[in-house]
Amino acid sequence: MQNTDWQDILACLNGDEDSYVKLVRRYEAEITKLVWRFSRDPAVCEELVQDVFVEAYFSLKSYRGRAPLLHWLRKIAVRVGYRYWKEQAKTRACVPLQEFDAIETEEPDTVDPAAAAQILHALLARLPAADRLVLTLMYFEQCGTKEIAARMGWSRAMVKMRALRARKKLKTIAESENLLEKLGWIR
Amino acid sequence: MDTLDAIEKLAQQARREQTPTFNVASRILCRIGPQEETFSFVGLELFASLSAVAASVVGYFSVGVLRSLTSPLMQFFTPLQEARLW
Repeated sequence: MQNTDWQDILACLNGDEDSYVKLVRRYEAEITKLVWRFSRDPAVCEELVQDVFVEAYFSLKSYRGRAPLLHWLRKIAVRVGYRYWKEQAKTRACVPLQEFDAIETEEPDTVDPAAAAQILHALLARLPAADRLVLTLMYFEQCGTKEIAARMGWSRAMVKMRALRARKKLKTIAESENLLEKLGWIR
Repeated sequence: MDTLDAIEKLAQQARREQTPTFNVASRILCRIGPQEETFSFVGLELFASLSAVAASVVGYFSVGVLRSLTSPLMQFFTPLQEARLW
């Protein structure tokens, strides 16, 4: 862990809120990047980022410094995002893939990253929250099963099993939506 | 191309996406700062006010009822005078 982080944490625990502002400014970009995978609505994303840092502030006493602060913040961010998905599960409306016809391109490497992320987000949104979480962390954050298990407090075997099943479900969904035809990637 | 390969390609591109930036520090300060004070004082004051109002209402009615009784304790036994208990 960075020495400056530890100094700011200690100052913050002693009631210096400005030190917490320093920590927030240091890590808000990284946390926003992660939380963006949970909601692509800027207003919601900003609210979730705030939730992460507020939750971290009130849990700061429990932080032992065994892992870098960013890892600890990411763990909180994943849980905040997952909770948001579970709350939204009943009212969630799926975005039909027809809306993404405009991005049709012959070469996968030339797809606009934002458009690719939007399609993947829309596809993953059709999965149950737990399956969606596992694949979101795998695809967007390149997390392994060990890291996902550690972040969520799940067993590694459970994450492996869930990833396998989630991929099958995602494949079925993508095929039913004719993803390859829509992207123009059939050869 | 397999569907899962296509999804993997999409993911590769998606990881290069530029995410928006927010300046949340000031709002976080607002949320963590005055919250403790308002919780301890406003909550306590509100609870005390409600308790005082409730006590006044109960007191008002109970004094009126108590005055209407000639002998408060006798009212408990009066109905029993006509009944044979054993």
